[in-house]
Amino acid sequence: MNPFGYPAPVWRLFRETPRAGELDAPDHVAAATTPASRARLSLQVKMSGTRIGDARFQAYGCPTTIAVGAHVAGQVVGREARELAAIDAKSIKEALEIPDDRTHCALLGEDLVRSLLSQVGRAPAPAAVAR
Amino acid sequence: MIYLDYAATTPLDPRVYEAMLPFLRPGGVHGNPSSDHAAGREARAAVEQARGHVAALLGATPAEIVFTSGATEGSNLAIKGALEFLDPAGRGAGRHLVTSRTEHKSVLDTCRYLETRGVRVTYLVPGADGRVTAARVLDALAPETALVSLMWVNNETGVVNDVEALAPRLRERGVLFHVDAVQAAGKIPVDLARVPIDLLSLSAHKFYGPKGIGALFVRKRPRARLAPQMHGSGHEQGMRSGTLPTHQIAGLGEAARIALADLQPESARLRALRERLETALAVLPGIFVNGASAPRAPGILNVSFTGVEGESLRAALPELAVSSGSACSSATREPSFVLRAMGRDDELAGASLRFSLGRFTTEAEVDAAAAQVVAQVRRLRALAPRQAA
Repeated sequence: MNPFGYPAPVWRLFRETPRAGELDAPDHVAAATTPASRARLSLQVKMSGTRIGDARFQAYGCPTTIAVGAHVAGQVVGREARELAAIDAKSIKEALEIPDDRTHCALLGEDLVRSLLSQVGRAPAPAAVAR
Repeated sequence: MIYLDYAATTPLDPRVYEAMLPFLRPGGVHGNPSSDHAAGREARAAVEQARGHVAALLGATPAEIVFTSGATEGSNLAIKGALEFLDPAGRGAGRHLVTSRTEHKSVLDTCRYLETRGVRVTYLVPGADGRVTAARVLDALAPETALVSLMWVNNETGVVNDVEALAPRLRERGVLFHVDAVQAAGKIPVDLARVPIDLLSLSAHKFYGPKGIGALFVRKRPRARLAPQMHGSGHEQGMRSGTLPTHQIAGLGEAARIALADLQPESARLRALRERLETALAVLPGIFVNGASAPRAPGILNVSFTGVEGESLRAALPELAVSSGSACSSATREPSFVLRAMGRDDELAGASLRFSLGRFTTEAEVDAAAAQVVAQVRRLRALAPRQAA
């Protein structure tokens, strides 16, 4: 039942929110927000060697924002740092069939990936080295 | 789907439906109520019976009831008609009108139109409890004030304005008083024999009647004078021309008859249901019942939820028909002025739900609705990242 007419991928991810929550001892924590914090995304990842092994997201915002968080969390798993840049606003928008008037939600997802990339691209966090 | 949006509109009562059928079915009573033959007289008898029922609901006389297409037309006729009657050439230019920022658009936009014609309008802000008090209205009066327009019950919060205390004070000052009673008629006692309101508008579809029909009460003694806004054959004592829709009027009349007969027990039942819902939601921390400190109509509960975003809250409840302060589903993208005036910020005003209960609402529906809301608020709150200090 999708009485408000959200795109089907957005509706599914908003309803099911796969990978929602937090990780124990994440290696990296990325975040993105909009002015006045009307929407917030957070992403926690655990590395498995040079690749992202696991990810969890948290979100505050409209259903599209929440769906973007779930989508990004699913997309980053298994990728190396150099592969993360492919997850941009355009790919998010296409994957979730986000309409133009909600492009800002896709851009928030891209900001989240950039935030992650700025960390994963650097030397691994100490906790990750210890393991 | 659980329907808890009775303040937006109500389903037709089956008894109302039955009362309308004789005037709709082929071979039924189809005469023009204005016609002077048997078919017309039969239709006219039905119209006058309905007029009597509406008058009884309001404590008025039948001659004081003018049928309209609904409360929007009724309020337009009352406000524009009163101002124009006072000054036919200038449509009230130079006069002053007092209303509140929390009125329905049919009143606010009528006032804005009159401003373009030279009428000065004061828009009052409600107090933190959501009420526009009599004192606030009286303070706003000026020597040139011609009319005050105030809703009896606020449609968002159910808060009851003290129009009963205000009416005699305005009468003493010779200021006309129009009341939008859309959320009051058939829901709370309205006795215009006791309360000196001059003009009062209502809509049938808010109390289980058909859409597209309403009434304007126009007091006879002392007489409230209106310039017609619809010109034609002079129906409704010259105040509202247009062939009377017999089936709609019969439906309105039956709806009024039932509402009056059931008023006390139904009011008590709805109040109990609302309290049941309020109690069930109170397991959640961080909620605000809007208007809790003011008298409220029995069927309306407006709650703001902290820590959730309004559009997601609404979308998380697809099986509930409730009104939301969120931008995705409301007709306007402006946050509720009513809730902001009551101290809620834009974010919280957006994360508000109006539950309005009615004749067909059951305890099981209230319990199921509360369970869905509690579960979804908890889910959305758990989903939110902790905000950086």
